[in-house]
Amino acid sequence: MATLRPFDKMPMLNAAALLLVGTEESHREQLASAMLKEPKTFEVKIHMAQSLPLPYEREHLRPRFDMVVFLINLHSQFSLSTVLASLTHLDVNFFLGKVCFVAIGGGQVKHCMVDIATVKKLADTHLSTLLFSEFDSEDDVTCTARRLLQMVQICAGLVPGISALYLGSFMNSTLQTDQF
Amino acid sequence: MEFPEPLGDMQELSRELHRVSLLGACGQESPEEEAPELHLHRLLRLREQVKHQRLEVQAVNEASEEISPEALSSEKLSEIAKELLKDIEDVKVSFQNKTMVLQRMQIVNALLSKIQEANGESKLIQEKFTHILMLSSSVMNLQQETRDLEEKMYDIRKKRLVLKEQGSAKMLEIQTMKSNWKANREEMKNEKIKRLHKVLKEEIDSVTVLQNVFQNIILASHVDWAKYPQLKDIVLRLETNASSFV
Repeated sequence: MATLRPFDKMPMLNAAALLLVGTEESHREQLASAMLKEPKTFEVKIHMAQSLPLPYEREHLRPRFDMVVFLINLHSQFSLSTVLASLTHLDVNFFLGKVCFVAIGGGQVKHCMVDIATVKKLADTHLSTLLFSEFDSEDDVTCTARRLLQMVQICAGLVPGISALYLGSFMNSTLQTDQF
Repeated sequence: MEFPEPLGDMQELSRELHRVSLLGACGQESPEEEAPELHLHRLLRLREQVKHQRLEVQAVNEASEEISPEALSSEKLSEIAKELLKDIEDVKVSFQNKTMVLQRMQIVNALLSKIQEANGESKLIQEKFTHILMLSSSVMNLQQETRDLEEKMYDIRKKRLVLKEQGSAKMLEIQTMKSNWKANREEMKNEKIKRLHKVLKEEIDSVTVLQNVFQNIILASHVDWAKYPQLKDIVLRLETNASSFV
């Protein structure tokens, strides 16, 4: 039972559960507090972890995770390698739209240890969405929090008519001429 | 529940229901207020959400059922992948066609509305249209003419072919006749025929001599042979050239 499965347990009524995975604790805290402060019509439970697999002891207390967000700090190679190691502990069915990557700190190119192209390729191979963000200002964090809230709402099935599978195609640019 | 006054309250309630059904499950709602009408909204909203979640879980269940060991062979998977790629291509092509058709319709609509405005620009458009019509009609006429000319050419070619065939048949006839005649000549070199030929020639010579003699006798006598029918008859018979019987 080391892998996290998306549809293992029953969903909660009018609530969504989110798992934030990332090495930087400050980033996780900032994002979580911003998400909880936002006005919303449903409840959000945010769980945080440094890496997967999650410890087995509290398995029965955890809710069904609707979305897993991987926070990659572009200033450290370690966070990328942790994320890559955690990806193997995730069930395949999660990658049908319930995974999101957030790349933090891409603005200061001097400090970037991780190449943006690597992160892009990671997101593409796993068919997941990639968000870029700087966690310097409150506005930035709030903006990212809002986007993640929207995505969580869709992934939890709280928006009738849209399922998590659509997120990939909705969030892609429609002007990619090389595809035609 | 109290019996509500007819029609007035019913209308209001039905309006609320209508609003709720339009909002679906994304209604803006503050959870603090729990007035009875909003309780109804909340329940309906939650119902929609639960329905959707049930649909998702059902879909996952159906998807996981289909995986069977035979279907996982690599050839089958590659076949399936190819078919899916083909389907994607088909959908892309049909999408492109549809956008093209849509854009065409939009352009035509814009043109029509522009024309209906009846201002300076529309006159220009109308002029262009008449010009286009004239050009296309002339194109059609010219195409018709080309077709006629081509037909004529075809007829002429057919006739030429027929004549050529006849010519070749005639040439063949001539050739066969020539070869026959040569064969005849060859035959005549035959001995027997040579003798006969010799005799014939001698006879013809003698006849010719006799003819000439008689002719000279009659001429020398200065008799008007045209007067006497018997003499006329004889003279005319003497005219026949015997060497034509060779």
